[in-house]
Amino acid sequence: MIRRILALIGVLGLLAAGVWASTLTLPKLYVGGLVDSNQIDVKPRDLALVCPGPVVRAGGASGTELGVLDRVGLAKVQGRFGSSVDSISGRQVGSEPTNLNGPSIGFDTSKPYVFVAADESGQMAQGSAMATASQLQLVNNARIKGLVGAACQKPSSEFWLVGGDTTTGRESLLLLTNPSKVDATVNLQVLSTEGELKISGLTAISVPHEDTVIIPISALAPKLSTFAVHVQSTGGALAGWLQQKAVRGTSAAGVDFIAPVADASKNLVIPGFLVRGVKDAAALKKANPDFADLTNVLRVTNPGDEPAEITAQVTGSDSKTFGTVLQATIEPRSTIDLDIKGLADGDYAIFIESSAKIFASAKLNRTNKTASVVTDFVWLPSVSAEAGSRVINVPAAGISKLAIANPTEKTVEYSINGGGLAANLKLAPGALVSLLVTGGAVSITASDAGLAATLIVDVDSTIAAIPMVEYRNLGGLISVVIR
Amino acid sequence: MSSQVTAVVVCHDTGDYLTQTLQALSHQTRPADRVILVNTSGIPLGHSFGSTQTLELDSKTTLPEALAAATQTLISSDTHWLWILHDDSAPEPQCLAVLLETLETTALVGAIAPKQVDPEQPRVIRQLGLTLTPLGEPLSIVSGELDQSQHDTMSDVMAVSTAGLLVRTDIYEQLGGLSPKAPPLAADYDLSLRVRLAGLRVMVAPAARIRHAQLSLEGKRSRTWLGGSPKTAVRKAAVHLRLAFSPLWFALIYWMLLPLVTVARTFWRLFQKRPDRIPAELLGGLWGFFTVAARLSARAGNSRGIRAIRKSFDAPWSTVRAAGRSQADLEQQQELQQAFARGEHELEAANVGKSFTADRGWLWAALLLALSYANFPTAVAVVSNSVSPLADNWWQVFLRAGSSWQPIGQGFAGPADPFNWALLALSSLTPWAPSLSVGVLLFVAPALAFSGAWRTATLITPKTWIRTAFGLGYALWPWFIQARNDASLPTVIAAVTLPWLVFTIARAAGLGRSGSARSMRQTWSWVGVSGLLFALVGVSSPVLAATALIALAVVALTRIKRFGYLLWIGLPFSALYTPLAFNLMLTTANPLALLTEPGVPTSAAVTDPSGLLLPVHPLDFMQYGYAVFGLVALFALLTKRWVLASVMWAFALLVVAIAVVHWQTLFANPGGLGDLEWVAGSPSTLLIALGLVLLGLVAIAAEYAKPSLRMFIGLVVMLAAVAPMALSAATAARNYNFADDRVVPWLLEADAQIGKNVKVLLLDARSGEYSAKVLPVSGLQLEDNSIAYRYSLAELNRSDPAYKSMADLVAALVSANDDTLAESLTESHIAYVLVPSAASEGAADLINSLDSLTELSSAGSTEFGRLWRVTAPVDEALAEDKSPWSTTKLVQLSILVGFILLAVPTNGSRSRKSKTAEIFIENDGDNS
Repeated sequence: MIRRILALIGVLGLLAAGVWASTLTLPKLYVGGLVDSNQIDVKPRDLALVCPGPVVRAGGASGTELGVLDRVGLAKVQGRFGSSVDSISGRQVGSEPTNLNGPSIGFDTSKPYVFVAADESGQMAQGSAMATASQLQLVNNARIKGLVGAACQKPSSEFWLVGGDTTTGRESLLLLTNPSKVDATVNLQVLSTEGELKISGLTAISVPHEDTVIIPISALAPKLSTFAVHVQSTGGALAGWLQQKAVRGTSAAGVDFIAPVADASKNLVIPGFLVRGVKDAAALKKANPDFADLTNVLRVTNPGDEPAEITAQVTGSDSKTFGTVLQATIEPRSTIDLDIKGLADGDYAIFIESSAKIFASAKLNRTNKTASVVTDFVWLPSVSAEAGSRVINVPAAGISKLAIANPTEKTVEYSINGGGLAANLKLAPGALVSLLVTGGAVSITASDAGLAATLIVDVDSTIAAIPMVEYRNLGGLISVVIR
Repeated sequence: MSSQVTAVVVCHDTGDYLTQTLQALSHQTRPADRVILVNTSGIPLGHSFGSTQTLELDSKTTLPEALAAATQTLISSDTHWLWILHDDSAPEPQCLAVLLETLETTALVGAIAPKQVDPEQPRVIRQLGLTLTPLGEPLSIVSGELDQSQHDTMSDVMAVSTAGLLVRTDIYEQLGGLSPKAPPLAADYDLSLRVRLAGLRVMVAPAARIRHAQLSLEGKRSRTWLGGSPKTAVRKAAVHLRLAFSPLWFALIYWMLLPLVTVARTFWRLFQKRPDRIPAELLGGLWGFFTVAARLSARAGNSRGIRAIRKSFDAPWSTVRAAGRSQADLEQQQELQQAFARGEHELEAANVGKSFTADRGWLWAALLLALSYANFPTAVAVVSNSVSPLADNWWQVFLRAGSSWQPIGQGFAGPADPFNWALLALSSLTPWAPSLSVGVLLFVAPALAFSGAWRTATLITPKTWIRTAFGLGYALWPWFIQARNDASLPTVIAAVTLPWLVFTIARAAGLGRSGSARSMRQTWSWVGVSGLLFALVGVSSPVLAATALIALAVVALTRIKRFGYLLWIGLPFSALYTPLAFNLMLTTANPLALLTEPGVPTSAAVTDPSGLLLPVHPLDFMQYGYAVFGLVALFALLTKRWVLASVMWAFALLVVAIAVVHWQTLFANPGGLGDLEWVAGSPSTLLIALGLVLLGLVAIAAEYAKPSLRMFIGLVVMLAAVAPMALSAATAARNYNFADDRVVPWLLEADAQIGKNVKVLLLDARSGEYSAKVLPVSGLQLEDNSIAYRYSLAELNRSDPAYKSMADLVAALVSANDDTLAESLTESHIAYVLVPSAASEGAADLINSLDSLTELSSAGSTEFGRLWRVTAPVDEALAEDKSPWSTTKLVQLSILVGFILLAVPTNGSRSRKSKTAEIFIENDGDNS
């Protein structure tokens, strides 16, 4: 029996030694090696930028002609091209291209317009420093009134438009332009507060090449105050905006082009939240229920399958503009609006943190009842922070402010040139700044951490936003592994 | 006129037998007129044997040469007879007298031979004339039978042995004596047939008896005397007779087919469970094929005469079968007597418990099937991260097994995964839909594991409840259930097979309560099954195979008498794994690469070693029933089988140690994306093996505990371990889906169905890097996974021009800015581009690029990702001139077929059980 007990003790001892050994950190053993990818230097495709063209009017001049969608007025298009661009061509969609002379180009257009910048050598890094374009249009007629601005887009096969409202007096039109030589088939996905809308007419929408198709979201999904539109195309790549219009009673009360938001992320930033006319808006809301929607809102879409818990920090630029914090949980595949209340006039940026990847934008109202009641709004998209040298066109009209935010965790050193500015500056983490700029090209060169920026244009208390977006085609050194 | 007899004793070994023979010769009632002793032993006799004339010859002298030397001075006449005796053939006193009496009453006799009996058991006949089977095999007409005068009426035979042969000297001289061209065991046939062709009779005289020890046939002489082993000599004799005494046309065809005949006979020997005869078959076949000139020159030339002789004297099939049975019974008798001497007969009488059916094992198996209701296959294929469908026909799976050319990437010359043989075996269950077999296996896996574990438990205990608890504990073991629910196919195959492997090895080694295989045929049958199961376990989990080899080595050392059998168990696995092992050693120069797991690489989270023994879902406390087994297993150390328990505990701890090392090993997977670039070794199979060892210890603890303690152990095991584990298994989530067996979108499948030989480019964008894979239009199935390709990818990307040009093509697609893109695509026979991770980060730019290309037209989103069709007409690729067959595959297949034949029970091996007792009755009779 003694031997048996000794055997038991021996095994228990070995087990104890094993438990002790399990607390040790053992070295990892590696077997085999990974593939060194093939580095291939390729010339990127010529950079094409599509501008949306003038605003669209539904119902013709009278507003009663069913199915009639026509363009109103002319949009002022501005382009700025880098010195190393070998050739610039431009065309209205559906027309033959013509050669343009850079570096700065500006003209009016009655249709969506396409710029193509070619760099024969392929050595120049694509981005706004190589080609940037934007458009601005002040509309002032009985049925559409407001300032509309947009950064011209590089066509894409998938993007999200977060914004819009189809309740009474509101109109959302989806403008899809296909500048390619291939027809596109589009599938739309609309995520509302109740989840994904299951309605007919959202799939297999044909967008012919060199053409624009306008889809009235208001007709497909009426009386929807909160939603986001997911555009997916097969075939040709598209540029798209959501044209949002508001009418109070019989008075036009603002219009905007809602641009695609930045890629879904757990950390987003919305610069350019420049709040003005808070008191006027409060007075109007108090006096007339029609002005109830003058409240600024943050719209967040959760495209994933897990709930997203978000914290949005509305940060002011100085001690006088004390911000606010919003918290919410967004159900999977749905969109919510969060009212941003209690802000004083001032410059703000919205920093959002989320437990899951989300999209976001913010609706900013502009009210002035000094002389007559003027209301307008703009949907500010979330934009990605970028490093390096970037350029944006500043329109000559109105007051333009370049709102810059630092969503990173490092202080960013940057220089700004043009638009009446020439300075080397620093921006602390989570900080923002709004710089008054005059017409012309403004360049920002930031250190590697990157900055997010949006240009806010104010013309007679109407407002438009031109986000600073970097578009580039794939090229340069590409890493390829053959599996 | 009286006959004259000259006796020639050919001596190759001096010793007792020679003395007995010479004494027997001197005691003949009718003595030989002259005795000549020819000594070819190489050792001078040193003394004389009366009037015997002695010739001393070189030890290399053959029997024909020895006889030629002895008969040189003989005067030939029809009354002078030559009596040939071997040194181990002692004639009984009446032998010569009876032979001569027979000659006096019989006319035209050229040669006559006595009845050969066993020197130790003179009642047993060893030989009474020789004949051939209808297939030309040498056959002793009577062998091993008790002499009850039942054959004493025999007279004319086809041939007789030279031992005791009395041949007329004139005819002997006329025929030139024994032919030196004939192999030793064919020489007597040769002489007898030529005597018959000369018009004389060849006879036996059953009343004349000679005690022949048959030293040559029993392997008690040096091999040079027979020119090899006795078995080889027999085979050479058969080949020689076929070539020398068949019609010429038949002899030539036989010679040409001899290699095939040899292979077929080799397999037949395996089926007979006689692998010991394979070397003789191979050597005999080769000898016959390469010495055909000598065989043909030895032809008698009288085909018609030979045909007539054979027609008269060939043994009918009934006799052949009877002789076979007699031989088998004789061998069985010897083996059983040996087993009896070892004391193994006692196991038969021991209580081995009820059978699986009588124990209601099927009821528990059915219950386990009911618990697996969620895994019942509702579609053909199982789809998950860890398994993909098999090819849609069995032949394709067969082609991949053991092949040396893989249709993956740009085409890859390298060994196929040995696991493909397991897939082939699995798909053979449902050959009309190979993928279905995977779903079926996952469904029935717990029931199969239960029945295997139940069998293993019979090695330890006869008690029903212990066996059942053992089986249930194994079937519900958390890592096994998790592997099943994750569709980790290699792990499931290894886990289901493992208990059967343990059981069969134990049977082959003669271990365990349920007794051992006593006959050689039974043992070989178990070796065959063990070899196949070991191969199945090994190709499914190389790390488990390495661990099992350690256990097998321990078993072989403790059962050293069975070493000769156990040695062969690893042969099929070695045959399947060696090509890959060579390749991996050349590619990685790291022996750990041999432990790479087959199948689809899946990520295994590597944490610190303390997490190893926690279930995958640590908060599912029902899974902790296994810990109860661990605690109870400690009690085995306090039983009378504590030595065995200690060894098992040591092995259990070794298994855990190996599992830790394997878990800490990261295997490169360059084809994987993101987290899958390095894949950690999975400890699952080892932890399942640990379960089997612990359950064995629990069974020992319960079997050898006092009855009251045994009841307590039973309650604890069933209530605290089995019941919670069953509940956990029943509620566990299934992490795979059932779908059809396509691995590509319908559009591609349609092309594949019509046999279009074009390619698909699979593109992925992750972390700023693009990865591409070229697939056949039918896609890559489970059997297309290749470990060798995985480790070769780095070198292929670095130096293979085809990979470089494919990388350029991918870059052109990504940049969408290459004027020659259409040309490049058609040259590469790429008709489709598929982006599987279209929703992933980084894929948007790639999709934009592909969308913008006029060379591609979008074919929409599919369940496999975004698909584009190349707009330009793409020529089909020429069919690759790569044979699916290779030397490697043939060798592997041959060994597997051989082991299958070895494993299949034959009538001979099955009949043993029923005849077990007869042997001893017979012995009793003999003794009485």
